[in-house]
This record gives sequence, structure tokens and C-alpha cells, in this order.
Amino acid sequence: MSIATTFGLNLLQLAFVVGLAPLFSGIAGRWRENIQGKRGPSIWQPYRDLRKLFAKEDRRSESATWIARFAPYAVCLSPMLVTLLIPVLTDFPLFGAFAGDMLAAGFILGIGGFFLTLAAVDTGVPYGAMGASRTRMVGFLAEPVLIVILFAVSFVANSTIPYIVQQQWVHPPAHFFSPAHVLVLVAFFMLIIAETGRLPVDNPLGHFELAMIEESRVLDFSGRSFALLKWGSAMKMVVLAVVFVNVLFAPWGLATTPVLQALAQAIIAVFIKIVVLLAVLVVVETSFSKLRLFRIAEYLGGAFVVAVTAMIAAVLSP
Amino acid sequence: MTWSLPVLGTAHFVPTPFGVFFSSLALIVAVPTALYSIAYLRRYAHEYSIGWFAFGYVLLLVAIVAVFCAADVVSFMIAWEVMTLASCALVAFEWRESRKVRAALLMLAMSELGALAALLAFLLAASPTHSLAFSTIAAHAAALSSTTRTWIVLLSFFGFGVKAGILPFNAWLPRAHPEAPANVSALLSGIILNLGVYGMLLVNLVLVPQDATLFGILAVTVGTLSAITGILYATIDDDLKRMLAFSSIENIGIVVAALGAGATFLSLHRLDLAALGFGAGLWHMGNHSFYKALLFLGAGAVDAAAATRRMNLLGGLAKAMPVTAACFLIGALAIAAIPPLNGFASEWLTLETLLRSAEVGPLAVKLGFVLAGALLALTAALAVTCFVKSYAMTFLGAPRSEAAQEVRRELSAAAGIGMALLAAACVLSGVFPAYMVQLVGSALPGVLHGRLAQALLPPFLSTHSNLPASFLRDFHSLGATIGAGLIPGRSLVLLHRGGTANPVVFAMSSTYLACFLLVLLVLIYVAVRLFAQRHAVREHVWAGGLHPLLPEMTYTATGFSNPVRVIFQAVFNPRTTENTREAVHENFRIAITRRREEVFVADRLATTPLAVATRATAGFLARMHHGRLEGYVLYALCALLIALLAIVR
Repeated sequence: MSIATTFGLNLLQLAFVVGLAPLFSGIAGRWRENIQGKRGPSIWQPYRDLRKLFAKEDRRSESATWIARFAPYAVCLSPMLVTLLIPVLTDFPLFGAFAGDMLAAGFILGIGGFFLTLAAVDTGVPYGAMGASRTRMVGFLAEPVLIVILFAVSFVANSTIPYIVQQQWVHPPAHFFSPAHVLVLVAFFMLIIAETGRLPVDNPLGHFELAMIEESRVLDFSGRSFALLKWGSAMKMVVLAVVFVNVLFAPWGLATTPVLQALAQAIIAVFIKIVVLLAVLVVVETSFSKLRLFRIAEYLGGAFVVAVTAMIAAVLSP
Repeated sequence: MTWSLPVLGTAHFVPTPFGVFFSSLALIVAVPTALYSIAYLRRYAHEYSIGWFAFGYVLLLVAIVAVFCAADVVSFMIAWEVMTLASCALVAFEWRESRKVRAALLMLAMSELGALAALLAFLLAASPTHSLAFSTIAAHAAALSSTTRTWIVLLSFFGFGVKAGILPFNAWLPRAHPEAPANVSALLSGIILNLGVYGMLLVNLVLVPQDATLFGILAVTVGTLSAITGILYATIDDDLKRMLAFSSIENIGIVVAALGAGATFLSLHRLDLAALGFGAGLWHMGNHSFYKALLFLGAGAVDAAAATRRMNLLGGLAKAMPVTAACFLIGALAIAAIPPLNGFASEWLTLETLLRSAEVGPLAVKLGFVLAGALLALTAALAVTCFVKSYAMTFLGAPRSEAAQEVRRELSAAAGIGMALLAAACVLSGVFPAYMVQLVGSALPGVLHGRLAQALLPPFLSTHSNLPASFLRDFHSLGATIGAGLIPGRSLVLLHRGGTANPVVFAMSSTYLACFLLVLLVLIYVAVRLFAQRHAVREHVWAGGLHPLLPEMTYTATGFSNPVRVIFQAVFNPRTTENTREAVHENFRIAITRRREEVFVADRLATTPLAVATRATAGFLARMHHGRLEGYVLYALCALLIALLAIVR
């Protein structure tokens, strides 16, 4: 394979994530309403929102510095960078895949969070700082879960490169049903809920500022900044979903050769896998109510225990 | 270099690669700090003698380099004592303020205790040889009994641990580091803590390298605990410089834990993994030197401009002090392990080293490393919280006091250059990890020398590489060999190779990450520029219908870190005093005064009990000072009689 092929394929992966991220959030939004017995907006609504926001003027707070202007770019940057490192469409590594493993990807997702949290304080609105403080609380409680999941993964696969990890769960097939694998999936699923601010941790549709966690950071953004923030958080969701379905859960359906047909099949397969995950997420989201703020520590504590059990299962399995 | 000293014999100073690595770190930190001092010291000029300061500063640097080059116990201890005295003198530079003098004396007392323990460790190590030269001690280390070795490990670990600022004897650190002038704090956190690490490694890796198991267990445990307690107290602290001091405890904790992981792998005879651990530790130590010095200088600039270090009273300084704000941001990004800066690179390597427990047999090592890894991950995430809070509450938002509002300008250009140089060091060490790894790898002593590069840097860029052809071909198509023949060095990628099932165990290249980040940023920026509405307006902040938003209505640093206080209450175990009586007015309770105080865990569990016990013993012994005179005469007579009898017989 030539450098040009791997480079081009990685651009395709990037295009898949960037291009379809709003669609996935549209599908999830529509289903969420459907389950509640409402008709819900069109699945294309996020694209219309983005177009509207990009056409609007950017209203900034008086006290804001360049941080508040830069943060939306950082929020978009970090999931895009992670996309370059993980298997979105192909099961062979692509250009630059060595630039970071799963642990590094965890740190990279922190770039956007760091700047957005700073920017929330930068606007000078009390709600922003409140959201910043609370998001950091969820953030630091989630981090040990991630590292223990990575320990479990490296006890099984002896590697943290996503392209190598994905091979391990299905070779031999017995690995797929091993307790370690199942528990890792549960823990990572709980982590996705916390990291993307969904119920029961946070309610992305809430309208009451005092009860908000993530959303209150972006209250004072508008126009193109807000559009970038929305797009960025949709991309982050897709990236986490891709890690879940392609690396940890079901590494099937990916292109094994760089031919057009295989790639087209992979795009469809990955799309379906993510949509199925979204369906599960939406069901979970609509069946729980929001936890009280300090109960989130217990939720993530639970995730931590699951991850530790997965790790012990991984150590003890032959 | 050899000096002959009266009475003590000759002092040998021999630069080794190991010592030179530490000394160069010291000098890289010291030069920008000196530049900064030109501007910073002006505020003291009318009250204190700058000449004495300069003398102490230079003496300290000379003593530090002498410690790193000392080749026998006597010259080491002399240089060590000069270093300790000079650093205490610099902490007490503002000697008219009793608080600063007390902090310096506490530091001196604890340092001397540590030095005594370290001296004992040296003497035990030298006991079979009757020579105090390091080379002779190392050559005869095999003759030591296992009990002696245990004592050497314990004494050297806790003795040098005092200087390194790890638990349990680090109560001096959060007192002394913030009280010193900022340029001295930068040296204390940036260089002096490294001396403790150097001492530990000198004894346990260079002089008595045989038994690494105990050192490994101790270092991983104590290092991890220091890291987590350090960052917890840093996160809730309101004082900008004390926060940085606590965070130094955290970082040295991470360093010591990484070294401990290395020692554990060494005791399991996995030299490649041991090199990873020691390399990660030393690299993180160097990175910590850069960003912590930078952050202390930034904090000093803030202190000089706003005359307060309390984050609750700061805010909004980024507009008046853009250079300080930018430099402090780079330091904060680095210490919060945000890619592609240096803190990320070395912390990533530390965690990867712990993940390598997958490759070794003992279950205890695996579970222990998972626990350490989880705690270090929590530490890393809390560090993000801590530095988001510090930067945001100091430089962003609305100013929360008049002092902060009236800040108009930077300290001076020289100070800006000093900070910018350190910021550049943070960026370079992060963006070019392969070169740093090579530097660190060549500094590792003994059996580990050169192994780090072997374990971490596949020679993608050299023309004659020993890599398997298929491996090289695969990575060629991924772009890892781009620039072969043009870019110096072995590789730009940190990559640990595995077996057939896992050809790559872990890999990272912050060089590439930085390039990708830049390219993507430019792409997004251009796209937004082309397609989005460019118009922007400035608006007042909505304040619930009130105008303007008062500073009291905004979030404070204390409020920001409150979730940490609530969740980790069991660790902080705060003393709460509530006063309701005064505030009762005509049967209505109108206000409650509640004071909450978190006492540092080392104070609570180590220093205070120790002080109480010492005082009680002294009180008990002091009783014999107040007896009857006849009694003392009788004692003297009896003693004389016994002595005479003993001699006559």
C-alpha cells in the first residue's frame, strides 16, 4: 500500500465522522422524541441548525479574551484528531496511525474540554463557571474508569493500539463472550454516557440553568462559535461510538482491502452499527431520570467497579 | 577534578552522564529565572540587599552542580549542606517577616533530618569498604548483607524523600515554597526537588543496585500517595503559589512512582521495561522543572502586579498582562497533560509503563500497578481541574477585587523573556519527544544505559536499520519514515514493539500530533472564514436583569473547586467551626459563621504527632533540670566513684 492510499483513506474516515456527525445526533434526537410519544424533528434538523448558526453574527461577552474565540475550534479539533488514529472504516492502520494509541486519544479528547472549560469562565457569566466546575467533576471521576478499562484491554490484547486491540476480541471467537470483554463493554458504555453528558448524568435537553452540567458552559456562545461547539460535540459522540463499536464491541464489517466496494460496504456497516448503539443509548436515556449532582460520583464509582472487575477477569483468564 | 581539603582529605568531583543530565536541567531552569529576577527583585531593592541575594543565588547553583558531580561521600555531603543552607537563606530573604523565617527554619530542620538519614545510608553502604569514594562503594556493594541493604533503601528513600518533597515528611514544602520570592520558588520546585530524586537514584541505582524490589514497592506506593494527596490539596487551595507547591508534591510523586515501576521491572529482570520506567520518571522530572519554574515565575508576576496571591480576589488579568497570561497558559496546558505539550508526553509514558505490567508474571505487581494507574489517572484528571481553575480564576472572567481591577501592565520585558524561554522549553520537550527520550536514555546509569532508545525508538529514520523488512514496509506506508535522511535522529515516533500477535504495543508521536493539529486548525479556520458570517458584536453579560454584573455575583476559585472538597471529604477531614450565637437577632438566626479549614494530611498524620511526641519527651527530660542541687552533687559523686572503681579494677 502506498502512502497516498493510506493518506486518502484517512481523509475519507475524517469526512465520514465530520460529515455524518450531525446526522447521527439528528437520528438520536428524533428517536428520543418518538419514544416519548412525540413526532420529533426531522433527522436533518442539526444540519439546518448549523446552517442557520453559521449565517448568524457572533455575539461575544465583553470580558471575553481570545480563549473564548479559540475554544470552539479546539472542541472541533480534538475529535477530528482522534478520528485519524482509530479504525473508523478500515481494519488496517492508516496514515499517521502511530501518532497515538488509545491512552493518547483519551488525552487528546481533553484538549477541547480544557479550552471549553476555560472559555466558559472567560465569558464572565456565573453559569459558565458553574458548568465548568461541574463538568470537571464528571471529568475527573471518569478518568480512572478509562485507565482501568485500558488496563483490562492491555491484559487481554497486550497492546493499546486500537487497530491491534480490535483483532483480539474475535480471535479466537471465545474471547468475545469472555467476562472481561462483556464487563469492559458495560464500563465503556457507562463512560460514554458520562463523557457525552447524557441521562442519567446530565440532561442535554434541560432548560433550567441551575441544573445543567455541560450545556451551561455554552450558554453564552452564539453564531459560528456555537455552531462549531455543537458540531464538535456531535463529532465527539461519534468518535466514542466508533471506539465502542469498532474497537471494543464488534470489529466486523470493516474494509480489509482498500478497494471501493469494500469501503462502501464498510461505510454502510459502520453506519448501521452506530445507529444500533444510538438506539440503545436513546432507550437508556429515556428510561432514567437525572441523578443529583453528587450522586454522579456513585454512578461513576459503579462504572469503576465494573471496570476493575473486568480487569480482574482479564488477569485471571488464561 | 580533585581538591584537597584540610582534615577531611580530598574531595573528588567527576561529571558522569547521569549527573550532567541533572545539572543541565538545573542550568536550563536557572538562566531564564535569573533573567526574570532582574525585573522581579526591584520590588525588594529598597528594603533588602540584592547583593546578598545574588550571592546566595550563585552559591546555590554552584552547590547544586557540585552535588551532581560529587564522586565521594564527603564532597557530596558538603555540597549538599551548602545547598541546603543557601536555599534556606534565600527562602528567608525577606527576614523582617517572621512567617518567612519560620518557614525557612522548618525547611532547614526537616532537610537536616533527611540529610542525617541519607548520611547514615551512605555510611552503611560504605561499611564493607572503608572507602568513601562512590566508585569503590559501588564495586563492593555485593558484599552487603540483606539486612543492611534494607536499611540503606529505607534510609535513603525517606532521607532523600524529605528533599524530594514526598510523603510523609513534606510538610515543609507547602510552607516554604510559597513564602520564598517567586524566582526562588521556581528554583526550589524546579531544581531542588530534583536533588532528592537524584540522591535516591544515586544510592539505589548507582551505588547499591542489587536489590530493587523493596525500592520499587516503596516508590510506587509512596509516589502514588504523594501524587494524589498533593493534587487534592492543590485543587482546593486558594493561594496561587501554595497551589503550585502542592502540585510539585504531586508531580514528584508521579516521578517517584514511575521510577518505582522501573525498579520493579528491574527486580523482575525486564531491563527494557525498567528503562521505560526510569526514563519516564526522569523525563517527567525534567518536564516538571520547566513548567513548574514557569508557573512560579508567572505567579510571581501576578503577585507583583496585583499584590495578592489569592485567586478569589484575582480574575481578568489576561487583558492587562497578555504575555504573562500566555506563558502561564502554556505552563498550565503542559502540567494538565494536554497534547502535544511536554507534560502529556511524559505522563503518557508513565501510564504506558504501568500498563506494561501485562507482560510480567506476578499477580501482585499487576494489581498493584492497576491501583497505582487508577490513582495516577485520577491525579492527572484532578490536575486538569486544578489548572483550569487556577488559570481561569486568575486571568479570565471579571476581576473580583479592586487590586485586580487596577492592574495595568506587565512586570517588565526581561521577565517576559525569562518566562517565554521556559515556555519554549515546555513546547520543545513536548513536540520533539524522540530527542528528549534519547537525551534521557543516554543519562541512565549502569545496565540501563542506552536501553531506553532501544525500547522506544525504532530506527525509522536511519538508513541502516535492523527492523524486519515487513515491519519497516508497513510503517513506511503509514508515513513513519517520512524525512528519512533529512531529519536527524533515529525516529520521530515513540514506539514499543511486541511479538507477532501484537507487533506494536504502544506508540505515540507528539511531533505528528502537533503537525496534524496545526493542519486541521488551519483547515477549520479557513473553512469558517470562507463560509460563515464574519460579523461579531460585543455584549454585556446577562446578569439576571441586573446591570452591571457585580464581582461578588461571579463564581470564585473556592466555589469552582467545591465538588472536589465534597467528594474527597474523607481525605481532607476538615476542621469546621460554626458560630451561630452572635448572629442571632430577636429570635431569628440571621447568619451562621462557618469556618472550614483543611489541614495538610502530612501535617496531620506525620509532622504534628512527631512534634507532639518530641515536645512530650523534651518536657519529660526537662524535669531533671529542676531538681535539688544536693541531688545533682550526689549524682556527680556517684558517677565519679563508679568511674574510679572501674579504672582501679
